[in-house]
Amino acid sequence: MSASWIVLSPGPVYTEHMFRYLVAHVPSFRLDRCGWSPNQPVILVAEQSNALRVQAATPVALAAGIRPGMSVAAARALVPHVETELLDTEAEAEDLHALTTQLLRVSPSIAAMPPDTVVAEITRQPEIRTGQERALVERVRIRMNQLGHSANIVVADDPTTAHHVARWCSDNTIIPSGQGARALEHLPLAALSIPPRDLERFDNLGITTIGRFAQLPPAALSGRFSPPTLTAHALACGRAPSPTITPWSEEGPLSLTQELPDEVVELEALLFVINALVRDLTTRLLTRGLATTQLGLVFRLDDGRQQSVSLRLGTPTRNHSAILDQIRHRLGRFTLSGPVVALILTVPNPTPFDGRQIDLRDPRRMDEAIDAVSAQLQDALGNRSVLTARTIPRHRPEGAWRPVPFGTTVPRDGNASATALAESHQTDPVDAWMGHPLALMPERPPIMMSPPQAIEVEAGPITEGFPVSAVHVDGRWHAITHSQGPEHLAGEWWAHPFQRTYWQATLDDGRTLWLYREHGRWAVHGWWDR
Amino acid sequence: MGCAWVVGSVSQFAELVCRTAFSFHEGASQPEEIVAQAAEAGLHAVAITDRDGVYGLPRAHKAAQAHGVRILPGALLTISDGPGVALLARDVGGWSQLTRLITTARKDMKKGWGQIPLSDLLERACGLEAILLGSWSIDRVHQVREAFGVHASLALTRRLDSHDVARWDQRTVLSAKTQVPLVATGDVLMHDPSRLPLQDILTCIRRKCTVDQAGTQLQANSARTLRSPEAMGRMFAAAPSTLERSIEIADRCQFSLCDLRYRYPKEIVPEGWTPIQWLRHQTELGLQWRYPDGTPHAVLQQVEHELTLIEHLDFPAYFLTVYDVVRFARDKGILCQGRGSAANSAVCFALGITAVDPATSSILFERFISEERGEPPDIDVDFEHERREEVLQYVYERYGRHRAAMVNEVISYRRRSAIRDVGKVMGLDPDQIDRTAKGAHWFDRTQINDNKLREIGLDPRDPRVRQTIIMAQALRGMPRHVGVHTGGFTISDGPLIELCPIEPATMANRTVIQWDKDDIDIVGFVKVDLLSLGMLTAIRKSFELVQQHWGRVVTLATTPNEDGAVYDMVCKADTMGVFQIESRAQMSMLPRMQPRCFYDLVIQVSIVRPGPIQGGMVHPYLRRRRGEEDITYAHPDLEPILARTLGVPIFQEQVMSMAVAVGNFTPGQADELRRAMGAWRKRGTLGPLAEKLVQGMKNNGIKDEYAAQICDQIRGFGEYGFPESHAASFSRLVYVSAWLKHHYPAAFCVALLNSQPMGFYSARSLIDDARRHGVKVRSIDIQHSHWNNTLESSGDDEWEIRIGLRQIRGLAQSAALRIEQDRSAHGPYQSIGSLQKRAQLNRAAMDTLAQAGALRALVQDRRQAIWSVRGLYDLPLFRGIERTLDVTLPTPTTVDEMKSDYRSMGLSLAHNPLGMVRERLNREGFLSAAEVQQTPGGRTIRVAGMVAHRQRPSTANGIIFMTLEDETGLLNVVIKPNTFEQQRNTILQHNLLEITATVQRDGDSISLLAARFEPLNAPQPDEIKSRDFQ
Repeated sequence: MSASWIVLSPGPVYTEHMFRYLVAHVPSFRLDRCGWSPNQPVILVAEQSNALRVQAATPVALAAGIRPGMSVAAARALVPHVETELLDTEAEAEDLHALTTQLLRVSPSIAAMPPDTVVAEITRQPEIRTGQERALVERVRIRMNQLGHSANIVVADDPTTAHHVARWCSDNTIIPSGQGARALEHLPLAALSIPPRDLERFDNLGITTIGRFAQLPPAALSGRFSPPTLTAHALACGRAPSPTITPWSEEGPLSLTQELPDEVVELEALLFVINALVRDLTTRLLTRGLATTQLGLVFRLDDGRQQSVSLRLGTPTRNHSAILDQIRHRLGRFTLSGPVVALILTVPNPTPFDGRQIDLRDPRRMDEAIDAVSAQLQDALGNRSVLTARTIPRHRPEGAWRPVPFGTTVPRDGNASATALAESHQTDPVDAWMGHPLALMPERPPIMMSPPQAIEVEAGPITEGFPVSAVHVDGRWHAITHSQGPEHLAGEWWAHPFQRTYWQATLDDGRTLWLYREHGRWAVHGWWDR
Repeated sequence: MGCAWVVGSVSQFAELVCRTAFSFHEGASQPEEIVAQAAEAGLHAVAITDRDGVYGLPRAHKAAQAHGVRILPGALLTISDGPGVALLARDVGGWSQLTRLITTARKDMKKGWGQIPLSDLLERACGLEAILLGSWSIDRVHQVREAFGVHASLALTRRLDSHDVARWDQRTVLSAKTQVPLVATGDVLMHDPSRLPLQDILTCIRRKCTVDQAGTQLQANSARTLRSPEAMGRMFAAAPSTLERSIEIADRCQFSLCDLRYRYPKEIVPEGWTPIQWLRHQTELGLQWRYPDGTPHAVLQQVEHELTLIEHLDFPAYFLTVYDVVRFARDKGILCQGRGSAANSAVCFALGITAVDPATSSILFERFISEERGEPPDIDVDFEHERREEVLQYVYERYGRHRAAMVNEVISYRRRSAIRDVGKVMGLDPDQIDRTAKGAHWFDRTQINDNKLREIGLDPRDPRVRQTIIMAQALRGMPRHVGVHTGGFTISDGPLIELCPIEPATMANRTVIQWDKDDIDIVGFVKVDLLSLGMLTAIRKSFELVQQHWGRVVTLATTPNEDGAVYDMVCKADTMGVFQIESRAQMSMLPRMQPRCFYDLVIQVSIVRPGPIQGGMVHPYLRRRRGEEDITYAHPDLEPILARTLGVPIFQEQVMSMAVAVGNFTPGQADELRRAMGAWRKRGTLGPLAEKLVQGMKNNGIKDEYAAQICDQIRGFGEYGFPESHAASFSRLVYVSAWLKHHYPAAFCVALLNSQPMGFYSARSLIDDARRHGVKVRSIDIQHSHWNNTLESSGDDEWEIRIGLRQIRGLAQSAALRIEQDRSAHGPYQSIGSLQKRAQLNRAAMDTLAQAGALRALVQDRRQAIWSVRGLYDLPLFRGIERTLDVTLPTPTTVDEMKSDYRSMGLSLAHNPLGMVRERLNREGFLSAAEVQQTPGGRTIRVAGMVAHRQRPSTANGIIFMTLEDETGLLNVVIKPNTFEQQRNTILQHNLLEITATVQRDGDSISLLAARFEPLNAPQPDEIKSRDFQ
């Protein structure tokens, strides 16, 4: 993709005290990231003031008259078959965050300008000193293209000016130092961040461009207009304060990559590199006050394939030796399937470090050993092999629990709706009644069959309301000596309807079964080990 | 308990705890369904115990009478410091205690909530049976036992879940320790197990979660169903005494809603008079006032007939109550007029309640009151919309809040609301819900149409989508919430609280009874509808202006009748602003209908309604009116009914009469049909009545096609249809407003502007229309304008409109009134500083005035005025002091001026966007709206204009009607579905359009059949908006 360029005539010579910023505005980022093409009529929508409203639209949709802020009904009136994409604020922020990290290639000081712009402070980049800003911009443009985005890239003395120009001009622009006001003067006044009421007043006054706005004497504006307008005026006059962008601080997954100068086939040799990576990693964790319970180690092979190892560390740690021991232990049972060209060490979920370290040799902490043991077990048997049961409030017995890896600490339902529901329990008037059964867990056998097993029964005279006299278990018939029930369970009609009648039946050998009848068939669902 | 259940047998059982759908989002069955099921199951009795309310009792009561089942009125009360309790009224005293308890529970609580402390309950135990539900502590059960004595019971339930045994044991122990007997109950939520899915949906709606999230909040099974005595006998075989206890309690509860005795207020009758004597006296006085030259003999006869029936049915006090309210309004100068079936009464006319003269119209008093129905009459009175509150507060003051309250209106689920709520519960995404709801009109059919689902972008194979539609259909008709009826009041002689619970309405100073407007007559309550009508305000203001500026006193009663010039204007569809006949559809009908007398207007307002349109009655009527078709009758018995509408049924009363004459209906059944018409939208069905009518007509030899037409028309009446009497009342206002428009267009325009919001048209359209009628309009001016639009003398007996400050968007009335008062006291303003200081205006108000160009008298240039105003200090202490730093601002063009006018007022007197380009349009061969009136039919022309309305009526098969406006008049544009689809963007996106169209003429009715649309290249105001309707 070729880029058009605007380079304003050179301004004052670059000095040590000036800052330079590169802003990349991706107009269609919000829908690009969802996989929509600019040629499709698509709108990004979100609930706003009790209505579903357009947040962004593809160029095709915009050309058809759809505008942000419009209700979806109005948009659909214009383009009946317009596709809608529901705004996922978190995912969008994550994607912009990911896009922002791409600017790390040009500067360590980068920031996201939601929803669709990224900025890097490039003051100290060699290209600035050597007058090669254009090459820098080109590099960013190519990178954005490689990522599938078309960006308007602007370099200026301050990010706000660069952002305004990038939003309102479709060309890549390098604004020479001290020429910010000149770059803005032809843009409409709406390009500045002026409160809508003031914007309307300026329109009534016939002041519609930034250049005309800049001609107003600052003293005349003071007292007449709001502080954001005065700030915008300073910007229009080229007196924008240059904010400092904090150096990039990573949150979330942490990843270190080491490209190897030569192909390596020996694990021992790799451990040497891994040792350095772990040391680097634990230092980073230390500086951020974090620790980890999980590690991922990826071996990139010379043929492009990858081999991965996932490790669990029991309690949160950033102890270099402990981590390296664990890796060494794991690699003892690991076989490489080809020469390695790179190593990647990742921490998927760093957690705050509470300052404690497990020490299995310390007898005072024996009770804490279960974490370490389970970690060792998980490591040896695999993550999915050491499990615990988590209960789920559901009537269908086999759906009322699910196995989760031992030590999982995520919330019970794993989403915000669980919290909302819990809150609603406090306010629902019906719960004020008679104790909602929600609080009571139903009685269930400790040994559950998964799935329930069909069972033969012998219909008999109804004793204590139970219509079965014997059941065929373990290859022989057992008489029922006692029964309790019934318990009716039904529901989930919207997905997989069920309707069962359960009984507890005590056999002649003392065992108690939990069995049910559904559609005339009997099945055993569990038993009590008493 | 610790034991299993043994089969037993019991022949009798009374269900004492039963929630219906009126325990909103809890019960999954309508009261009628519960009662019908109780009858089928052979229950001894069934209690209706909704949570903190008795909303559904009248319906259950009515159904119980039909099924021969005994219902026990009661309620479940939420106790703030304990579990719940079901209360049943044993007698009238007990009922009164219950209504007081519910009233207390609802007081000071947010809408839909109620609770009382246990202590309040214990104080009002007399006459009530208490059934304790849930887990009560021994201490509290002892307290209840002390208060209720033998009338306290502990509920024993079986939910058929894993807690049954523990629950049974706990209750049994509690009963033994407290000596409070157990009573068996199903704690019912549904009449049939098949309602479990709907029950789940309601639970999720209440808890604002999806079915996937709800988990164990849903019922584990359908055990909470109304069960037969045999089934309960089996379930409670281990404790048969609990079933016997249910019978004992039911037998002790002898209270029925029939025991409630509603009495009219007494104070409306002076001492020494009986109600009928006083009514007769007032009627006679009224006749002297109405007919100063002597009452016509026919009217006297009619009055006598009515008074006899009124006395016989004991309704005199009701008429006097309404008369009292109307008299108050008249004394205060508040214009009012009865509408609806009351217009069938000569007594109402004499009392000044209605304005339809029985001497000049054919009236059907039996539509209003009938001996056979024996129901209280329904008098609806319209008051000026700006002053109705005075009337409502008068009623509260006169009768006291303990005796007067508004009535409830139960809002039930309709198609869209059902789909929206079910869609959320089923976890569909908002867009899917929106699409489904918008396409909801075809979901009535039992089969889900896969193609239709695909058309709106839904996957018919998706079980969630199918379930959503199925459950939405099930939810339809279920009560959703209650609101306050628009104007329904009930007034009683004694405290209302003894008859029905009263709760605070969301709106301040309003109290409301828990029964729905349609249900209160079941329990014999009488309601008066005190409604509001914007046109009455406009007419009153017009009368005042006419008296003030022309010195002529005109009233509703004295407006000269049958003025030919007025009908000439109406026939030309020159009716913008005229009540009822200003819509596009009415305007298009007027030249075809050519109304020449009052009864023509009655037909005119009734015929452009979904009833006659859906029934295909419009064209036959027009053809017969023009003599193009013979006047025939489908059956000889229909002639007396349909003769006055040329053999075509147009009014609701005619359909009822036809049902009796040729449908084999009794008058009672016909009235049921009328009610079904009214409830059609709400309940979604006409039931078997429609089938019965069709069959009856067939049996009388009427063709299938005609019978089907009548049924379609009945459905249409359910949408919106007029009874003749109602149309007659409204037609009086149609005539009066047309008379005012014709004779006093300036006064009428000012009155309309000062009564906004009302009607179809924007202030811009109304002012342009007045100017087209020769009225001069002066611009807004701080030295002359008042808050209201006013009339100013031009010096030669002409009156010109001065635009009022109320037309400025965002200017507070209080600020405008301060300007008005200060100017009147201290003379004109000298500068913007003096204006700000004297009128105590903040800078925002000054800014608004400057932007509207209202300060021209002080600063000639609008932009300089805005700049100067921005320089004013805003603090009250420094008001009037100006920052003086001046700047040079760009000189505004006419387009800038026009845009500023539209932005601040939505109109421009100086610059019409079309007028600004008229020269070019003339050159390019465009016709103006005035020129189109002279253009023969069939010609293809080009016009340009501003879009005033877009309308897509559901009865028009996808055709869109657009009203286009230019500086010379209005044009009706018809857009066929294909044209619309091809040019949708242009039609919807632009409010200034060029249209290529073919002229269509039907007599004097002109419309344009649009072929091509282009955006008009003309200065575009920012704030021009059309009013779009469905």
